[in-house]
Amino acid sequence: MLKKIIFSVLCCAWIPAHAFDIGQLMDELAQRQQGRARFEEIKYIAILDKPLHASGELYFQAPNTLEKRTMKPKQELLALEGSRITLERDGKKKQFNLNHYPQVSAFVGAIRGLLTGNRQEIEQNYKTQLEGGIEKWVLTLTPSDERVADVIQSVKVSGEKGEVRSIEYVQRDGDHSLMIIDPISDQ
Amino acid sequence: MKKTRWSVIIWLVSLMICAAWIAHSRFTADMSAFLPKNPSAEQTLLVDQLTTGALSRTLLIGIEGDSVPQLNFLSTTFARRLRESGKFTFIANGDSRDLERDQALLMQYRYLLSNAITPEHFSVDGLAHAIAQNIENMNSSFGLSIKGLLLRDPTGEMLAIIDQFGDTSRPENMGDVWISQDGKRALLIAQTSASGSDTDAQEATLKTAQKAFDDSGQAFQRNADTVQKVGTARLLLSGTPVFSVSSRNTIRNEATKLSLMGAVAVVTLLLLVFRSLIKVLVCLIPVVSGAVAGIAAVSVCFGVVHGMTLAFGTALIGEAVDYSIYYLMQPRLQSGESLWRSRFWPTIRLGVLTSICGFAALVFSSFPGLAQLGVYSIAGLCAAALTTRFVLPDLPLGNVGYTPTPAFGQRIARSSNWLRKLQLPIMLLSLIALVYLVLHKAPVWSQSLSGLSPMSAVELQRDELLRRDMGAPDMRYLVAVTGKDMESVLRGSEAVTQTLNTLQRQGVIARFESPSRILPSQQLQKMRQSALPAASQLQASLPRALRGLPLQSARLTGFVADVENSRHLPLLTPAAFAGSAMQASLAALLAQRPDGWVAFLPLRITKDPEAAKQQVHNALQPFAAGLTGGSGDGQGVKGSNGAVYFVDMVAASSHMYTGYFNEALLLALVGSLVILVLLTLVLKSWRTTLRIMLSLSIAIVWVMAGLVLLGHQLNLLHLVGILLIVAVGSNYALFFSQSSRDAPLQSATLPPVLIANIATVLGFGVLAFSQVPALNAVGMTVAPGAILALFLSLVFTREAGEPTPEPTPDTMR
Repeated sequence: MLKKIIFSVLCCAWIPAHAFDIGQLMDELAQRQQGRARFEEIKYIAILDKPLHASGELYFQAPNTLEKRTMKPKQELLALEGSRITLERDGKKKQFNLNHYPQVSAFVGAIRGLLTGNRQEIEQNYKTQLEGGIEKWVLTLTPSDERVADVIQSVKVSGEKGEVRSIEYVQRDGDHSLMIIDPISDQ
Repeated sequence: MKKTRWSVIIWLVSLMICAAWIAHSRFTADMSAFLPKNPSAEQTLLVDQLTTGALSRTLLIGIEGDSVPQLNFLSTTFARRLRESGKFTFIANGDSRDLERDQALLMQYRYLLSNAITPEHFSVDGLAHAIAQNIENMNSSFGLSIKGLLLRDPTGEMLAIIDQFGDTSRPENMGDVWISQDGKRALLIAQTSASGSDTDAQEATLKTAQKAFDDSGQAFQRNADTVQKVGTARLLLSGTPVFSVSSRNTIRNEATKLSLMGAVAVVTLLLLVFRSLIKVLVCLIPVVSGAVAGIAAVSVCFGVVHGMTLAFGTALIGEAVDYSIYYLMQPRLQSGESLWRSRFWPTIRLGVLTSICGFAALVFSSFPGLAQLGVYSIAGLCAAALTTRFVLPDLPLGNVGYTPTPAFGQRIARSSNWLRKLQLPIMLLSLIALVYLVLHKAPVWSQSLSGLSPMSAVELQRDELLRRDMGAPDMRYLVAVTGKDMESVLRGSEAVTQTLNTLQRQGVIARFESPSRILPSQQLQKMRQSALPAASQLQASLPRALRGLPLQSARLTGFVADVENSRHLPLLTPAAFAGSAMQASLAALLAQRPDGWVAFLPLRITKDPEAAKQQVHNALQPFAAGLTGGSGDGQGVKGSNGAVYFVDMVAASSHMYTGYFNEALLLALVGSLVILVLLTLVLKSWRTTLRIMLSLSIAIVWVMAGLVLLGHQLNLLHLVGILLIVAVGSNYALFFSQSSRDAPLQSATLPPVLIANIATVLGFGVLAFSQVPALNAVGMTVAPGAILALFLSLVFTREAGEPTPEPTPDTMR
């Protein structure tokens, strides 16, 4: 998987840029008003000998609903509805308001913004840099909020046309987590 | 005329003694008037919390503004200014910097605080399980945020503690500072240094807070950039200090306002009647003497005079002024002979006696407000009557009294004949009113104490809003653990906490709070310390525990050092939490009392309250072990180390109210009965007594029906008002029934009685304008009641126009 990503990143580098800009990308992404996707998340943490794996499903609906349902290794539901975020794990349910947590907002908000093509939600938290063309693109996000930047160095998002394929968070200390997204086509 | 006027000298000396006493009296206007004199154990908890407990010093603060950045700024600046003022023992606003400091504190003490700490927890299996679990937690969506803790806290104690604290109340949202769910208010919680019973100091503290807030607002205006909309912010204060200051001020203002209104009204009336300033001043002599004697008597009996008593005292102006009116308006026969001493005074004396019987009933009330009222009234009325009888005649006033003209008498006689024709229609109307009261759907009598509280609806609403924002516990149901010292209370609380945990798992209770989650007993802390392995032992266990886990034991040196360190930490005491958010939570749940300590465990009941209450009560039954006799009130369970109570505060306070109410009802009945017996004995006529009783009963029924018709729910103070109708109304009936046997007197009685009645109505009438519900209730009952009593006495107690031929035995002498 990782190799595939790196490969696509390399490809992007020498595909000539046809004035493909963030606006177009967002328009493309916004075409899907709702969708489901399988995800696999791999966390590379220096203090651990092995990376941590988790997988499950994503569900989104424009403009502001995102559900991240982790199946393995442990069930967890993270639901984002407007500015309300709910986390269910170990039979406990916690709720908070996204507006009051800039770090969480940057983290979860980015996923929602990308999946639903909400440019404002992304640019509110990040500076963007787009490479590649419509067929294969890589969007690099750098946090604009200092407190977020203390934790997250950058977010690298890659995709094809109107679909996000992977989101990689690179932490300030070098640890990183990669989420590979595999859309489930609607019947 | 040259004889020594001893009465005047005695009067002046007594007045001076009373005045001197009053000068050294203590006046208060706190909640004490509403709290029981001889509280039960549960009520003591309630009362302590309201008067001196942490609750009485806790302020809930909201800052209402337009934007989150504005609220952030204001909350931070405001909190800093409050801290600088030195008038608060702590201030918490959820500041993230405070949060970091709090977390550092919890981190340091995590091995003494975590419920997970047992010897097994540090066995190879225990460690393996805990560490595996923690690594799994890192795989959650927010997992990377706990990454920093793993090496020092691989068993996840910090998370366990935060989970433990999860049920402890605080605002749900924490950004930079606490912000309400809807983002409209920044929230703070503060505890004043001033004691809850020191209302003056509390008021000064509140002023400081307002000033600090205004300064913060100005600082924000200066700092705000020009583009940003500069909004107006508002400070919302609530909590017991606010209530006690505002109710004190309301009562103080009311006392002043009402006395002034009453005095102006009565003086105006007297000026109209007498058209002589001197006579008006003379009229006021008994009133002032009565008020002075009343206050002094209350001060002697209770040690402290409540503002409510003073405010109520205005009504007494209207009652006491009657005596001087009767004196100044004494009828003279054509011969110039005055009937005052022979006829009027005996009737007044009987009137004073009946009034005293009414008020005496109040003296026995366990409701301190009522008892003060009783003492004040008795002393005041006695002093006023005695002054009228013995001092006024000895003052150089010249001639007093008036001579009624025969024409006037005839007019009166005619109208009274006409009035008697109204008897039947009035009886019918009363029957309708009675049926209306009996068939009224909503309960006529209120069942709660809340109707008496001087707090305004706005204040109560604000309190509810802030309490909800803050996630402050609903204090309705709580388990209270009392004991001789903090340690025994904390041990008791630990045991109760376990029981409540079980109930929570069973779904009987939704959530609860416990001081044990914040501060374990010394015993438990020592047990946890002894469960911690020595460094060498832990180092030996770790490689085996980490087998199969992606973590090297070599990385965990920080963990080993922290565990070793925790074995020698000085045990946690409340002082360790000084300045932290935990201090605020702990102070609300653990308190020192005059005779020991108490822990509160507020809980929320999920389903059917009655069944759940029973289940909670049953579950707490084991704490009765070592019980020596029941505690008597059924809800308390006494153990060897003090007691465990399950209290339903609403039930307790309504129970308290019902107690007061039943008592007041009994006292009112006894008072009325004594009055009737007295009247029968003195008047020696069952018929007359029955007539008086009938007119008074009708007056009461009409007043009650009228109040209910106007949408009032009657409470304890209306009941007191009714007692006063009997006490005051019987005087009118008395005058008429006495005079009815004497033709010249009959027509002469009406004018003074009418003027006296108007004075009484004015005195009580001003109370009806009061915003203090207790005073308002009395005013609304007695003022119309007095008019009706007079009118109905005219209708029912006066005999037909012709004088009784037989000579009247002079029973009064």
